Amino acid sequence: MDLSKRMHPLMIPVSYIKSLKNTFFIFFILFIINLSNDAMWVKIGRILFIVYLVYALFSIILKWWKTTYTLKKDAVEIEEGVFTKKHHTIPYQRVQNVQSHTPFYLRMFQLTSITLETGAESNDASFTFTALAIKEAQRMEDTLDQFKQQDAEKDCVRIESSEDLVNHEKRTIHFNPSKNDILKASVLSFSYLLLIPLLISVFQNINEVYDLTDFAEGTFDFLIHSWLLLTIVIMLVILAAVVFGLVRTYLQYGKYEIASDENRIYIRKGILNEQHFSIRKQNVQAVHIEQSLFKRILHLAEVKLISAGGVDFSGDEVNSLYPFLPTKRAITLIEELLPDFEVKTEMERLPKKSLIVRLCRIPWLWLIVTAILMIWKPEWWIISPILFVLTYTSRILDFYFTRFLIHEEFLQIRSGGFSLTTVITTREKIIEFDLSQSLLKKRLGLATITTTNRGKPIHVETLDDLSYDQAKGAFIWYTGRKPALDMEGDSYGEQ
Amino acid sequence: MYANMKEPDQHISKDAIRVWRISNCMIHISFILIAIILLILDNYFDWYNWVTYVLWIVLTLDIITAIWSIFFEPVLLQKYWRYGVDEAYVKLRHGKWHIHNQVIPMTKVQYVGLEQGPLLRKYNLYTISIGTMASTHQIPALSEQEATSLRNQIATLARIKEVEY
Repeated sequence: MDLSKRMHPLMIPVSYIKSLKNTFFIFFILFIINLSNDAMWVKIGRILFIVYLVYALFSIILKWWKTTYTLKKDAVEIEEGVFTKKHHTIPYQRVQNVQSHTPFYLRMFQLTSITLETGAESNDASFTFTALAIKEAQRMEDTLDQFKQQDAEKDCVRIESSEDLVNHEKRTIHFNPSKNDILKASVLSFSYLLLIPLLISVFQNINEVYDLTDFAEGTFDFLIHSWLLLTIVIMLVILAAVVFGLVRTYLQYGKYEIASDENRIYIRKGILNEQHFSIRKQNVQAVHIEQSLFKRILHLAEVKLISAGGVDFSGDEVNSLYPFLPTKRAITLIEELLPDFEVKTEMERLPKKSLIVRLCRIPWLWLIVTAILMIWKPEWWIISPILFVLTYTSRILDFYFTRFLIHEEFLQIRSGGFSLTTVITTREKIIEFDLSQSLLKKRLGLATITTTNRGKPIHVETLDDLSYDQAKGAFIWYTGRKPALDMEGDSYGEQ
Repeated sequence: MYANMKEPDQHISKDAIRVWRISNCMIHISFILIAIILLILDNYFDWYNWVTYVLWIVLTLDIITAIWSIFFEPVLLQKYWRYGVDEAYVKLRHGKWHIHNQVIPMTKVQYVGLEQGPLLRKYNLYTISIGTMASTHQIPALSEQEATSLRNQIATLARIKEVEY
């Protein structure tokens, strides 16, 4: 078990291609735009570029050769670096979540890439194994799970290990999207609109090689003269867009699965590029339920789990449970997945006074935009009244939809005008609390509360214009936690 | 309906007023000097017209804020700063017109430290900084004895461990 290993050799082409992607535009300039250019700089540039390619290849081979990892009893040790050696240790205890990402090209070779995330703030907070055999990745996850379980049981009475394994295997699947869900998702993800930029870029690419302008103009003239043809073409384009959107959504959300066992939540998604994400239940710092305007119309919601070890995986939000959950299901799902959390639908409203404060607040954005328009683009004046109406509608809506609730250990805040966000967190997970009052608010008996949760980035939630009594209640609720409870919170909450 | 909010009641040192006055004084004097030098250069080299306007506006604004932050702000800041430490929480309260009531649970405190700049040293004062996973909070201008005992108290209560998760 203590043998040190290298990653799979296929890491070399994978990282190489990744690094080439970044230099593609240089290649484009040197070899395509200036194909027949004999200038000195082109020649030198080409030579340098080829030298760089060779250098990159060798450095990646060396990197692969020199990066080794060992699965120790309580930590992964990683050695890397050619000239300067780097040695880091990731204790299993600090691993917050595990992500694996399996693009189709890796899957063809039974490989996957896996990222271990810790809660630290530095660059070394997470480590990605670019290519590992799926079995090896599985072994790593198992080692982690076993360690966590042993660790959790240290304090408790020891249970027989065979029972552990049974528990470990017991994964309940909570959610698979139905066809109907995918249909709704494809409507809401607007992916059908992506066909347009795609078509334009295809057209431009062809146009660069063969001049299509005349052809396009000819076709356009021809079409515009026949209504029937024009309608048919438009219908075809719409059909293509819908099919494209469906296929794209299916590829993204088709094989979605949310499962959990006693300790972890598992999310799997993607058809061509498979992604796995697992998070320990104890590490969930807060839950977000997000609903955009369109999602509200269709009674859908997105649930996000805020955790301390969130790493951005190429911009994808992997911490999101399925983004198009039916609202009611979303709430039951949270309670199924996280027995520590409870969602209440009845919440307190803000006092009427807070609407006045909201309306009195200076609309800076509108003022600035109007000023800019007046000076530079007076002919676009229409934007100004539209923005004005939008600003105030959103303020009024925000007042009507904002809710607040303290219930046993939970703080639940819903806010937002057009799109709503409900944040649920527990007293134990809030790391800072602030109650503030400006002079005006003091006169009106209003206050603002701000809570801070761990997360990446740090998650700060502000609720404006509560009544002072509500805010005071929250303050007392927060400071009312018994130190005895603290000790417990300490050993569990911060792992 | 609710029990009363327990608010912190300890004051920071009165010398803080003087320290803040001196430091704000120095900042504003250097700023005004720079503005004046720029104005002289502007006069000499005949820069664009708008530069002159901007410089004058900046200069007036700075003089107004200087009066505020040298004569009034330090007094108010000192008068309304409160802090308190019990076994479970660090509580901070500051501001008169914009009141802030902050609470940091001991278990979430990651480090405490003392800081002292040259001005604070002159008055034998220390600033305590309390770091959590999210941010750093400071209690400005405490006497040496208060500062060290507070630091030790927080450090013991927070049970700063070798391994932080």
